[in-house]
Amino acid sequence: MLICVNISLQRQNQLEKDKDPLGHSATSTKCGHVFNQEEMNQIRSDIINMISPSWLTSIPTNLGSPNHGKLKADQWRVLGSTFLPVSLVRLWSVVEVGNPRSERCFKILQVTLSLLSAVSIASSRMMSVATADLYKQHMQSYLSGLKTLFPDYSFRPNHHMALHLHEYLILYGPVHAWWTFPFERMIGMLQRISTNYKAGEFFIHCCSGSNLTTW
Amino acid sequence: MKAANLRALVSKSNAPEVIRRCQPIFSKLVNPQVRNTLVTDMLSLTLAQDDNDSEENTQTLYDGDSKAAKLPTDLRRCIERKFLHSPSRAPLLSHLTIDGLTYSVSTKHVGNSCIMLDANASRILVPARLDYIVELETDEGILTVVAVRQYQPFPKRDDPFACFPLLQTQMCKSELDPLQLFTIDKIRSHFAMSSLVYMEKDVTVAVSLHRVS
Repeated sequence: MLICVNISLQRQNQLEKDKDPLGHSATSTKCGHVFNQEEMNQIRSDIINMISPSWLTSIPTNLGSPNHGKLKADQWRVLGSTFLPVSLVRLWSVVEVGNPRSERCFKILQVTLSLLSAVSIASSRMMSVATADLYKQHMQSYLSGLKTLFPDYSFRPNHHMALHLHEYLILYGPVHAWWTFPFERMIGMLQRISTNYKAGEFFIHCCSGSNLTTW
Repeated sequence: MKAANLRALVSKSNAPEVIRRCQPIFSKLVNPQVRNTLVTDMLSLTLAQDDNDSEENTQTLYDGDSKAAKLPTDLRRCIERKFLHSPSRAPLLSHLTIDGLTYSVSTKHVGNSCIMLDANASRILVPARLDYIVELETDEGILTVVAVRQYQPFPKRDDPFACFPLLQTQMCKSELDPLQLFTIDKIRSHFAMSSLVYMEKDVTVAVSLHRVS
């Protein structure tokens, strides 16, 4: 408990040290943090209060806390396409004139919505050249906005790959036909099955006991 | 291999033990009740691919308990408006499954009762709450209809989501329209719903989960 308190105090001190007089700290983005505590609480509250059908992938209600571990790709998609738009538009779409943080957050909202629009298009079940072009337009808008808002941010290979998705959407159609999530899911299920750590013996035993060739 | 064949594969009585032992894994993968978005995606795509043999793949399932019950007054009035007369008793269902997705009445599961309807000629989907599922006897046979209350639209100029149509999100008033009847083919998908205060008004935000766009 004492260690936790110390870590928390150290983190708070670090945040205080990173504040600068140029107004960046007022946006809470100096350390890569965009949300302040109040906004995080509101997003968590929105996640708890949102009513959704039983099949929709669940999102951790303590989002942002290290306790829930890494989110899966599907959770990121549902978070971005379902939960975040509601919270972000509510929090940031009304700009307070003269408030630098509010103005900056509005720009971050625009950039984020470009990304979410790109994700929405990319995961659509129908695809055309025009739709793929629209995806590329939103993705480019997101990346250029990201560079403007966070000039020190280093882009990752995934950002580069995201631009190539445009070609693949045209060549191969909707991503559902060629993405690997079903295989990832099956691998995950197989990994969770209890075994005796003797690989292959179960399968050989079952095959020898059945007439698989004649069936 | 067709999806229907794959579904039948694990059910064959002469299937080898190795295949039969895989049945729980397979069922878990394709079970629509699993709380996972990817499974519903896979089911929808499978059904879209199998459109040619539609008779085999008409995935509309009903709950088993469909005994005739006394119809509530509001539902009877609604049926009378549509068909000029209404039976006093008819089978009321608590849920139905279309294309692998389960739609329930609001008293059973609020989340599964949030439906997007293709309710008008403009083809714009509107959010509604599913209140009743009823089987009516007609000259052509049994007709399954849903009684829903649509959410009242919020003024477009005040809707902050109107600028981002790709998000498929719309703001509505919290009030609901009177009960209306629709055939089940008008149901397109679910939506996720959030109630909040916006510009000092109680509103509902509906995020459509209909991902064909």
